[in-house]
Amino acid sequence: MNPIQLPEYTLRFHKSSVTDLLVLDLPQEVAPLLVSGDATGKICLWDLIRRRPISSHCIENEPQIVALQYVDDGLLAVLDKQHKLRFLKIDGSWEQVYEIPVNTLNFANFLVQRLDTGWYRLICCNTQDSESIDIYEFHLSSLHSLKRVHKGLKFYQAISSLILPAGFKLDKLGIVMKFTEWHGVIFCGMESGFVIGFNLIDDGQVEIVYVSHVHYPNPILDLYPGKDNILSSSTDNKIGIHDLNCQQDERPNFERQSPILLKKELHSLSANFKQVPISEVAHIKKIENLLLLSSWFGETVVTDEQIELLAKFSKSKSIVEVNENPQGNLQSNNTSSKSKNPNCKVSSLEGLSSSNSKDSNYVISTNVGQRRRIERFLQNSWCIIGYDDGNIAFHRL
Amino acid sequence: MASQSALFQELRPLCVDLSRQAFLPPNTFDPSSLTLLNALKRLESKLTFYHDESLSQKLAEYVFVPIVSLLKQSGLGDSQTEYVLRIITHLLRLSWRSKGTFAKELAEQLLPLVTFLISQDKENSKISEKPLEYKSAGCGVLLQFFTSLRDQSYKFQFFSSSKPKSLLSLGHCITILLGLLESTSQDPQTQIQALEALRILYQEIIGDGEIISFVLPGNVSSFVKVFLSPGVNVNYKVVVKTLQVLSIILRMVYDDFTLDAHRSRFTDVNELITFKEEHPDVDVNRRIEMHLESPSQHRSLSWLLGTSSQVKRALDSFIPKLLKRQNQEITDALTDFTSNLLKHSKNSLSNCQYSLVSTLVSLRRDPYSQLPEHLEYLQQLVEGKAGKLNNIIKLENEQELLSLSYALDILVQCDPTKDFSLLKDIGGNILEALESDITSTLSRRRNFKITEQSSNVILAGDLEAEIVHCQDSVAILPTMSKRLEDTIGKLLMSAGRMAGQESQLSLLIETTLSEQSCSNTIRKTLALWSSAWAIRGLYNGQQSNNEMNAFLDTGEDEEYTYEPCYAILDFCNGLAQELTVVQEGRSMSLQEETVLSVVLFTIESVCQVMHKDFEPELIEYLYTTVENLASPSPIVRHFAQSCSLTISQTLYNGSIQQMLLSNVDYLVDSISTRLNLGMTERVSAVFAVICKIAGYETIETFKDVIETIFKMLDYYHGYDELCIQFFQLFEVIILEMKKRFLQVDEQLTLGSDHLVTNAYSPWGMTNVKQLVSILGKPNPEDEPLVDEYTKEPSSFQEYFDSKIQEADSDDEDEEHAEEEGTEMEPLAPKEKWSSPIPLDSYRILLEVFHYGDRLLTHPSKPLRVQILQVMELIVPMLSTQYNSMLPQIANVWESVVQCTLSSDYTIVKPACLCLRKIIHYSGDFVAKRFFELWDRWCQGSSLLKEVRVARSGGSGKAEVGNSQMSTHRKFPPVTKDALVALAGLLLEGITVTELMLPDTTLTDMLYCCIQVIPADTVAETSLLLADVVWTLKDTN
Repeated sequence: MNPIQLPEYTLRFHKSSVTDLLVLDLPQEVAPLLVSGDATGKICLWDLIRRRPISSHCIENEPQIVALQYVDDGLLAVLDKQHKLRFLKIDGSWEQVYEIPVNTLNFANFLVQRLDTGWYRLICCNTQDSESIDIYEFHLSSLHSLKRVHKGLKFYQAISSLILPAGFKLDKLGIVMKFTEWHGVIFCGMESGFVIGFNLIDDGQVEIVYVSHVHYPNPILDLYPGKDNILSSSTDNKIGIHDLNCQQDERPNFERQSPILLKKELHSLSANFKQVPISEVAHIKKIENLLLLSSWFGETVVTDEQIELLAKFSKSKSIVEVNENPQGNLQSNNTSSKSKNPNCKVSSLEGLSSSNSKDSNYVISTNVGQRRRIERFLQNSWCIIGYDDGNIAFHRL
Repeated sequence: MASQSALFQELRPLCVDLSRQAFLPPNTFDPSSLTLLNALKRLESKLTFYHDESLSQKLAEYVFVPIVSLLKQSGLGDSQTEYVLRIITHLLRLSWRSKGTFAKELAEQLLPLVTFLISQDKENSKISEKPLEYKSAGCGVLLQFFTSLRDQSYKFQFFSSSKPKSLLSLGHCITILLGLLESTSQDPQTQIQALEALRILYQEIIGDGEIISFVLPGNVSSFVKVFLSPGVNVNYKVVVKTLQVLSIILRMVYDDFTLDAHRSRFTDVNELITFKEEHPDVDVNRRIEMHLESPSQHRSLSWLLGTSSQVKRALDSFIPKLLKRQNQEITDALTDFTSNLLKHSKNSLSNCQYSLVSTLVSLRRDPYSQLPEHLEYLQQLVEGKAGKLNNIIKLENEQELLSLSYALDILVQCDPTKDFSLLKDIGGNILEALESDITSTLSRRRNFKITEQSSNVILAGDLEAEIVHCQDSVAILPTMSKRLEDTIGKLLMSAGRMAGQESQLSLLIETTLSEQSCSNTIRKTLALWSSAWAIRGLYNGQQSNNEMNAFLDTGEDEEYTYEPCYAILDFCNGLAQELTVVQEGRSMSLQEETVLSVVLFTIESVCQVMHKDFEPELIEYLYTTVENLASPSPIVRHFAQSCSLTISQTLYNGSIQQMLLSNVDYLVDSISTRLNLGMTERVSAVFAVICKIAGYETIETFKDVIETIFKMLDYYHGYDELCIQFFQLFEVIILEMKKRFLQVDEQLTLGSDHLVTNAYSPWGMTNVKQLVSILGKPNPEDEPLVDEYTKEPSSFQEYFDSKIQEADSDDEDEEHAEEEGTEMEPLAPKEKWSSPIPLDSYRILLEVFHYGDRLLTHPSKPLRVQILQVMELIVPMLSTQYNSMLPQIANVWESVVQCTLSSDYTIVKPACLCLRKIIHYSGDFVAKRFFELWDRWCQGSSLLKEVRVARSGGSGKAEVGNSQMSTHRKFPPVTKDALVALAGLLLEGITVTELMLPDTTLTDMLYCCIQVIPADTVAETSLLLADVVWTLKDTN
């Protein structure tokens, strides 16, 4: 087996857990950038070539950053634990352009879709009930433009008409764990292990186009929209593979019973999956033909498409365990040697593909030194791991 | 003229005296009579005192009369002749000098007379045997004669070809002068006179190359004899003068302009063949055409071809000898000579061009910028020298090297067609020469250990101050002197300049470097070293050019791509990495020392070249530089210092501190990478320096590196040296943490949340502040707002596990569930965090404390001492969260106590100091332990035995009044130090326990204390103690 590999380099800025990472490949930039957010409200924009922060920003009251998404027009959408989704300019000023209250008493991220210039759609958890979904539309110019298009969408009813495999004792889908978008279809991963894909149809209705139960009854931990399919991970040792195999054909007549429609062709559940060598896969990414998986135990593995293990990264901790608790902990004393996770927790994962930027405009950069460094950097793909101790490790793949 | 008459009065008796002899009839005249000689001498010495031109012509004629009659006698003795010559010299000097005073007739008579007097025979066969004074007088008179003649209006006609007689005497007097010149080598003054006479004659009187061309060969051969007189180092003034005269005649004879000489090139092959047939001896490159003014001219083409080869032979014979003398005056004269010749006679003497060019190159001077016109020869010359480089370097011939770079520089400036194969040759030859040199030296000194010094050098003093003090005279290559190295460097710089363009140099360097991929380390190092010099040459040259351009305002602003620099840096990096891997954990060899020095030198060079553009490169190269500031080798350290200084000056206004501070991230990442790879050499030293400079604020961002160090302690605890380094590092970090979170001067009092049941400080309060805070109502705003979010499980993982535990606790995933469960197990009602030190940092303290505890059983004494010091530092900081400290104290107590029981007092001392801190900050928590400690000490501490009397037969009372025990005794310093620490510890313990102590024990303890601490100090601690102390004193 491959021994554990060391990072090529590490970025150090955050003093608390790095909760989300996002690679930005902006056309106006000569090289990809990275945005990182941490558990104490800090967001940092990185120059990956110089390996230094370009600028950083701290959200007031230092709430934990939950998720980051790049929206067009140099805007970064940031969701924090204080129930705020903010649109920040990424030009270094970090000027806040818009904000929406979002329920973050759960583990879900959010999804922003661009509709038109200035017009956006937000898909997130319902304000009261994390098991259902709200959909908003708004224009950046005015806070009052915010309009809730759908309120408290729940899919259980709609899909209960499908034939569930035997042994499924299901009366709800649980809270929403993850949102993502793939080819215009919105996917959400549920606590019950279901992955549901749906469309918004013109007349304000929601059409479910995809349902998978591959991880049931384990919760979805991460979704990744790959090039050919969507990947999902859970606490079990498999990754779900989701594909829209049915064509987007002309609109058939639906049974108009509710705002949620089930696509007619959709009769069965898909359950495509692949076995992977680790479980508790909290983060999943795919770059080119490499699969990056991070577990709760601080291990990150790289496999090829045949799930052949290629590399393994982890960051071990020292043996001595300290406890500042004056009362001591009887239980931990009993099991101290056994219970301790020997690795530093992985709190976020990102991949950077080399082909991502093959025709990038770095060539126009006049400085030979810079060009050389960019070339060298983009020669390979990178696995970027955010750790609990605030480090961001870069592994060359 | 009163003065003339006065002179006359003076001279008359002398002339009369002389006349008496001179006018003697021939039969009675004695040519060697002493009387005559004396008369002559007297007259001569009189004349000597007169100033130039102070005698009227009449008076001169008066004086001359007896001389003339004397000369009419049939013969004259040598001495007499000498004085006659001197007198004539004076007469010429005194009255026949200025214009019009020296009649042509007189001159025409005088010249043959004088020449005859000096040398009767035409062959001058006897002249060399004459005494020196005689020769000197002869030279003097001729010099005076020509000096006078040059001011006369008829001087040009004097030696006209129409007067064969005068030509005859001219020839005679020239041969005399040359004879004198050759034969008076022991008297430079005379030689110079002779040369000056010749100069005046040729330059100021004759002034015609055609005439001089007749006497030229004789002159040249005489001069060459002067230069080459065997076994003698010819006086430099003579050499200079000779060169001057030679230069004058050569120039007059071979002047291109008057000869109208041209070099013509062949237009076709036939022409060449005919030429070859006609002149079989003549080099085809030397076809010269002349336009004769008259067919009778002496200087015809065939004459030219004939004589010029003689000249060349002459030049080739003496120039090398003169060059070797390295005398400034001679060098100047030679420069003048050579460049004049090149300037005025390059066509006529075209066969000498190569020699002349080569001379100028050897002199490295070209006052008339002649070299650019002879690039062809220059190129040949450079090629020749380049081919011999190997030898030149081995012989350490610096002059040759300098000349070569001089020539190269001229080629660079003037030759548009750059010859790159030449550059490659030069580079290759240098590499080869140096390599064989170094390889043999290194193999000879294989077992030679470099002088190593502790790696803690940079921690010791003021980093910046030390760096500034570094000098500039350390040689980089072990076999070469700094001078030779600089010389070769200069040559390489010229080569670099020659490449001209970045792209070309880049190509050259890249090929050179890539050729080394399979070579040995030495060769790689040398290639790197050479390349570094080459880029210095290219960019320095261009930068100075740019300055000129700025004046000229060409509007051409060159932007560099610095491609060669990057190629070099890449190579440099590879070499450095190769070395680091090899070197880890071993002592440095001579070769590695050289490689490292070269690497640092290269980084410095590139930084100098790239200026601001170098900044992004620091990401890879700064660590190497900074690390080697702590190198055990003084040479490497020197180059590291020099390099750091250059970097800081180029990029950070000369501040090393700023340089480090601005790049902490890069440095820390390098450190982290090294630690992860298990490389520990010097890492902790560098890390400590960085921590010191960066402060704790920054340290917080690289906690992971500290964690890595803890991990290393897990694995490498057996290596005491390493552990000590780590604990030294911890000390630095902890001090920084203290600086950041705790105001140093603020007394660390016990927090108000903890109550000590101490007898004399009610409710444990020790200052007013605590009282106020107890009396004051708790301010609701002080309570941190409890966010409802924080009550949420902080991650899904926790949430999920709690769910699992609720739902199906006997799941098969039980193991995992439990694992996670323990982490999220609600940790009893969480205590309020009141310490100014944040939890994360507090945990680091705990971890250091913990590792210290573990390693206190280490056999290495220095390690234990270091650990105890660190612990002593940590305890007050831990006490800021009192309740969290206590379990740690309980853990560590036993290990520290063990140390106090050691028989080695150097370890007992820090242990006692540490324990004292522990007791001070834990208060009554350790009271019981303190009692036990005392009992154990009484049994097992060898230190305590020094001051404590053994209990006598279990009576339970110490023998206190023993007469041999005096208070405050003298101990050896080590024991004394340990005892003071011990007493301090005891007093601290007494203060904490006080009323709980049995009186006997208290007395016993205090008795030990007052033997090392003044009783007054002890008594001041409290009333109770004072009582006991004074009782003890009294009983004593």
